Amino acid sequence: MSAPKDARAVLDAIGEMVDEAFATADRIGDEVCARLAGRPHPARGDLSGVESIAVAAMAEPGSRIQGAGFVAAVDLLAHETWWLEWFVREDDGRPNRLEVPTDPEAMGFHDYEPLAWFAVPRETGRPHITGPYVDNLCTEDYTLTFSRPVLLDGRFAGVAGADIGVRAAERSLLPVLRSSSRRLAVVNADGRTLASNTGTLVCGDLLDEATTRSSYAFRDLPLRVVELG
Amino acid sequence: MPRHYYGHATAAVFAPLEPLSRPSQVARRLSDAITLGLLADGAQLPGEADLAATLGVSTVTVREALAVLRSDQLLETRRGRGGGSFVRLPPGGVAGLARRRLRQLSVVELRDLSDLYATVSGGAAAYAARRGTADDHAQIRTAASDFAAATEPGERRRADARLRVLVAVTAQSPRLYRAEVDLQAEIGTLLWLTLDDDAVHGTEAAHTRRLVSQIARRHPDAARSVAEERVRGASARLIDLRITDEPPAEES
Repeated sequence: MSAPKDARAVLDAIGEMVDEAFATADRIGDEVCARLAGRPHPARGDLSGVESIAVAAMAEPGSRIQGAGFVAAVDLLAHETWWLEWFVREDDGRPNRLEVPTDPEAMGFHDYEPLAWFAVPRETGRPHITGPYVDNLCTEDYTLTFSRPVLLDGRFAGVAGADIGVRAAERSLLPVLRSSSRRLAVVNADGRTLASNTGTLVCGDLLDEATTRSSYAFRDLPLRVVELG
Repeated sequence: MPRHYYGHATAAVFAPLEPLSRPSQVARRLSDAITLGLLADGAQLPGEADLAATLGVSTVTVREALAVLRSDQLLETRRGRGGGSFVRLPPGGVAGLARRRLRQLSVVELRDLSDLYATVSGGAAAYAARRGTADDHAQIRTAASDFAAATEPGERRRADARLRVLVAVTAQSPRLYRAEVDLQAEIGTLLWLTLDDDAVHGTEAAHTRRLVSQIARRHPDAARSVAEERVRGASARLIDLRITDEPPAEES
């Protein structure tokens, strides 16, 4: 079904945000591919180009990107079984390297392999949007993670990704939601709400499918716009 | 300067921004990290400059905080090559540290903290029941089974911490998550003292099974009441421990 004008405006606003995130993820993925191609035993140092791309993306005026980087497939790197080459923007705007325990014996270590932002791109070979979720394992923010697989000679080498905070997503979506006279919500594949123009279904809430009048897919990614009855 | 009372919210609005001195706050954070098990026995602390930058305080403040921890015998500082500050757990490990903290709290303070923890846990459970997806339920169920299967005290603590954090995360609330981890440091670490007993652990495991099933059935009120009841039960056992743990009169 083709979307009415106001729902299309919301889909466009989602598109701007998603494109910004995946453009950053793509640049990081391309950099990793270029540096790792033909290297049988890549090391941490080969990922040094990720930082400047992530930092530049976060520093752009009006950037929504809260964090970005590359997360290596287990056993990809020599010396580091698990590795996150990931950068975050602090509250005061400074970029910072995210350091999480990657030694499985260390307190606070958590295996990222089963997490959706890693597992879904690995299993499907396609980009994925995770969230909104409270990221208790890395950043402790309420966030969306946009991630895509990085392939080397056709083999999965990890994911490149970017985070957009839920507050930044709301700032992007609320103006177009507000200008619709109908009750609209942006939800993910689980029916979890990202933003809406009604106080009865807010960010984090699960949509009751029975109240849905119509639903408009956003490309082939796990976000959609729904009209509530 | 006289202390003004403007009305019922005075304590919230006109209290000093930081009731403890900066060094005491830093010392408290670090001893929380030790009690929670985030900094293990023998672990080396980051350098003074790194700690200062992480916590957003001056290196002088960090130095004073480290001195406090040294005088509490929680840190050992070695000079020279390979030197630095190292965590030193008291006899009895984190449990010994928690017991020390328990003795410093009055029964009424413990009750008040437990009331708050019960409210936060109950609220998180209720929102988790509203907002959890089948995936969330599966993760919580796994964490609850891990808790039930845990035999070592440390293993039980970590499993309990993980389960509680997952419930707060499933509630989709950054504030409840923050409140949960703050209270875990403040009172969760003390409640864990009662978990060493197998019978108590069995009771708690049964409680967590009920909690999981109410969250999975999407019954917010029932989930809230099970979560509150669990904290109340643990808190009663902790207060019993506090009362019997009273040092002899000449020491107090």
